[in-house]
Amino acid sequence: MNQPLLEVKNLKTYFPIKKSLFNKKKHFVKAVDGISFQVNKGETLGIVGESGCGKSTMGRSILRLIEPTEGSIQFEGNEITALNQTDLRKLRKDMQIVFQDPFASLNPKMTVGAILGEALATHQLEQSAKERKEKVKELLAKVGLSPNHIGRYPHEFSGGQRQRIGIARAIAVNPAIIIADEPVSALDVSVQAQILNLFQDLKETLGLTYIFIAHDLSVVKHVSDRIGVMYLGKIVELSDKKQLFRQPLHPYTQALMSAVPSLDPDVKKERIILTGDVPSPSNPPTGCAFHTRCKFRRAVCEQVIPSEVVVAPGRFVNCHMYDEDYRADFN
Amino acid sequence: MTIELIKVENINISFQDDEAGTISAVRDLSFHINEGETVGLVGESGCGKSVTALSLMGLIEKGTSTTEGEIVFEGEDINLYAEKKMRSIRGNKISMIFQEPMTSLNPVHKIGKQISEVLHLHGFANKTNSKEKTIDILKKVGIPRAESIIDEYPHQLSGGMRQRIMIAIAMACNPKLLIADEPTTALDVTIQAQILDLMNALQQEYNTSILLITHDLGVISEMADRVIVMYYGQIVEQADVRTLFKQPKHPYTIGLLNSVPNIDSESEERLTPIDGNVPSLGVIKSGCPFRSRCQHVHEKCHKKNPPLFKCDSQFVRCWLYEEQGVSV
Repeated sequence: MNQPLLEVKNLKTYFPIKKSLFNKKKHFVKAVDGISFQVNKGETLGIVGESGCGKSTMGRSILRLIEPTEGSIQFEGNEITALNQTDLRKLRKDMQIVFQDPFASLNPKMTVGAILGEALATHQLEQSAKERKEKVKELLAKVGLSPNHIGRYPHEFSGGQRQRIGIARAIAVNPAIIIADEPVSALDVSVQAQILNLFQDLKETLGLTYIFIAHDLSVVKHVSDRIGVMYLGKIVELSDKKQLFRQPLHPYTQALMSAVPSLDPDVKKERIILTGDVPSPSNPPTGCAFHTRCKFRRAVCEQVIPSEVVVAPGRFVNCHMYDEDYRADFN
Repeated sequence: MTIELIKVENINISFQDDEAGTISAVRDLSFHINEGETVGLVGESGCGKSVTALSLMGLIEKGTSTTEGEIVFEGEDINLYAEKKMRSIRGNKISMIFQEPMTSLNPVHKIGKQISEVLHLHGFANKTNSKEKTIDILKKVGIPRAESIIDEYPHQLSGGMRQRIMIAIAMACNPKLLIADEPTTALDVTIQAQILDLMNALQQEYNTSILLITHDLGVISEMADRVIVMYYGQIVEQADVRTLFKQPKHPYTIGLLNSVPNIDSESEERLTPIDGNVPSLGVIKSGCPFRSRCQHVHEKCHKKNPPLFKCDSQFVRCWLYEEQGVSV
């Protein structure tokens, strides 16, 4: 079997919370709490989850923009967590990120030409200024902007165009994989569709691999080949897209899907309304983190942390209901 | 029988800008809402949907802006009301919930005080029964441990809970019309489901009319009875929810529906987005404002802005329907 492009094993990112002077016991927000998955070359892995589930932290931890606490991240077989800053910078050429807010992630004092030129210069891709300028123009055309825009500043563009610049910056260095963190959620629907199509086109023409992080289930479904559903720092279910939508297994996935309003006014969905809010990741519930909102909850859920149950090749679910050892409890 | 609660006729809202002069945000807008009905107002940022809502509440600042036209509520033109008179209606008969509950709640006052304030103002409670009534209202919107929440501050609550508080304040005086401006946009889908459920339940109980403003077509399809689509300050299409989703007529409405990935379909089809961007307000002076993004653009579109054409029960502002529709 081919080696996966990216392999994440048991990734954990904890943030310490300051306690009072006398209480020396350290507390942590477990933003990412033991995540494992693989991404194969040329595929799109969608990560979906609600605010605070740790999906953005996970994306940034993979690039080491946030230092992970524990775990292994292998890119083409090389261990990323062991790299020093110099080697890490080289590796970032292969792994790029597109952020949600294209205005906050572009320097307002730099022209588009300078922003994209900087990416090229940092990775020493084009030697002369003239070559760089040509390359920048080419990039602008690739993302659907006019090469004449090279001298403009970010504020002169609309939200959708700014996101195109963000994407141009990411593809400038010919990366193998792009982590897109909520890239369309700040955009209007008509523009959102333009950007989603751009992602798809670039994937085909440049042979890219994506990790596509979003809270919008319909968007994730549209772009992804496989989808991981996150809840409180863990992937609770990971599956091929079609199987996931035909038969969601985890109670949280089921609730999430039923909560998305249908575009057909004739379809009246059977809603699973989850009670309460997502618990705080600084003080997660014992056992299964979802048990406080789960209608199938049994005694075991409050005590034992569920482990990955592989239900089909390439599909796992983190729920006791599907675990041989506890199945009897749910009858 | 359907009873008309509010009727907006030919309102024009414009703002004064030092550089650009007069910018018209809403043009010739007319619609009505019946009792107990939910009307959805859809459109992208800058189309004038929030300004429309603010004008119904009398919340558009006079001086730098003007609102022309009639807003007839229960037989009276409330657009003519002085601020003091408007205050007796606002929060009482017409109330509003906003997108971001954190910015619309006062961070330095306790939850209980913010609710009882509305009750006192409109004479629904006095000193002796205000606490009891406040707790009642909180329970109605599904707030657990209402007795202790009244002594807490907004920052102690989650986004979904804050939006429930906003709804509690808005529903406190049992209004006839609830204007909900992107009420669930800042919330997660599972919380959105809770809030929509709550709005439905309250509407059933009190026969409240709802003007639901959102950019989310899924929410519209679920909640609305009738839908108004706005573009560039104008209504471009108006129809009942089924007709709008099954037989959209305006190229913009069709474009919007094609832009949204459908969660219920298994097809891997590419999305067909609308080309270009929404033009800035004040840029287009004549002709159809959608023409630069429209696939069906023809000569007439450049010359003249189309009127609304009535095709059966549907209204559409597009020259394509000139022949089959009746101009209104």
